[in-house]
Amino acid sequence: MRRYKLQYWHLGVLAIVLVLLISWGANYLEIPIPQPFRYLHTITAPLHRSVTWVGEKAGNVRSFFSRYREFHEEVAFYENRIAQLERDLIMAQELYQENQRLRELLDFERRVNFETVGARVIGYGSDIWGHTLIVNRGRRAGIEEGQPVITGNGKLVGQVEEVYSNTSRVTMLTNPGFVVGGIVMREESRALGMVRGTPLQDELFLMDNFSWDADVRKGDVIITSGMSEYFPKGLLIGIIETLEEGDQGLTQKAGIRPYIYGTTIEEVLILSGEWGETE
Amino acid sequence: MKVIIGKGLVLLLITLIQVSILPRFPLGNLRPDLFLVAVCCWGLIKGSRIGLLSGFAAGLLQDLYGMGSNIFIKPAVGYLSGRFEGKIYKESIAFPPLIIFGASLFSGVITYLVHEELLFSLSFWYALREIILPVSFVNAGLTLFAYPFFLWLERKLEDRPGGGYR
Repeated sequence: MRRYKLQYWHLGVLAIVLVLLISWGANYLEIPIPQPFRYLHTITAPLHRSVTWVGEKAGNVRSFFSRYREFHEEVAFYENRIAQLERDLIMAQELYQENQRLRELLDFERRVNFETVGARVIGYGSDIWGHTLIVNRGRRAGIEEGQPVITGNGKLVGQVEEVYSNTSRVTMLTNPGFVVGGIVMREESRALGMVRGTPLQDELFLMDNFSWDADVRKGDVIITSGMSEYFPKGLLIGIIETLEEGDQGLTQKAGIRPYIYGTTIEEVLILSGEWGETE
Repeated sequence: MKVIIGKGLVLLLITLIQVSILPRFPLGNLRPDLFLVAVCCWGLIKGSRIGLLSGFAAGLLQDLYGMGSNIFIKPAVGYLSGRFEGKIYKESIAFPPLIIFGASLFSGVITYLVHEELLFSLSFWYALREIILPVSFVNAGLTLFAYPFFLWLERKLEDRPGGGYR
């Protein structure tokens, strides 16, 4: 009988099979990172904060000198814009109060009831695939997993995935596999669909499940539908750039250019509270 | 002890660069995987055992900020790279990029296969063409600079200026 002789390539194949099995198992069972190792996240957070701070300051100094004239023009532009927005804000406050009075008259509940926590982006995901942000607010600031994350002007950034004591990891909507219910903002349309993210900057998001006769046009703004428990209604997602038929003409698909992409975000708001269709 | 502390500091530095600096200067959609480059270099220079251990440490650190399969993949990559230790001339710069290219392909394909969110949202050929292959090329290119650095660092840490391992 021939004796089996172990060779290096046998070990290699065995290692690959083992890695596959263990990775699949760990991923399937969603094994969390053990607590002692999670402290590493807390320990390294100040370092990330410092490096990000230095990077930002260096970038600011460089852009100040290279864009001095542009800054002057921008200041004038934004002064006008602020004045205009202040007028709009006063009108919006009037409308809000009127809306509240009318809702009370009709016995509707308040549509949205949430609080925000401001956070600074101190780092990004370490993978080549995923788009994640590391922010400097964690469990101590009341952050919980699943909370939506937006920019100061209401654009959807993503969702809190993992919370540590002083930091949190946010999955961005550009992450593969990120799905959120969207609705066309235009009053005459209100068509519903599912928006799916893509990790590549030059690729459009896919919004599908539109009915074949849905009133959808290029240039329509897509916002969150508020149909899930995770996201309130009205957060900005993107603009429809392409339209095509799907499922042999039974549905329509849209390519969405997202408002938010990648690594240009410096501050975010994390939402907590209750939302949804309450009337 | 000096070697362990030195490697730990290098890993910490890599974490800072990978998490806080590189994302601000992406090469298009690409970001090199510095952890993988470091683990493979250590494997090539010091062998399978060090490759495996440094892969575990690097995978753990990377998973704190990433998708969560590196703690299994990086040790395997370090171990397999370490199998080439002694088979290639250490001063040669020709082979390490090839080995790291292969390791990046291996790591990319397995990451794709074990994450259902990738499996169901990107087709395999698309992921291979747009992410895995380009990142493998970037990692291999980076090795031209990283490998001599790690070789120099190992010699510094072990106080062997003239080289001569084993």
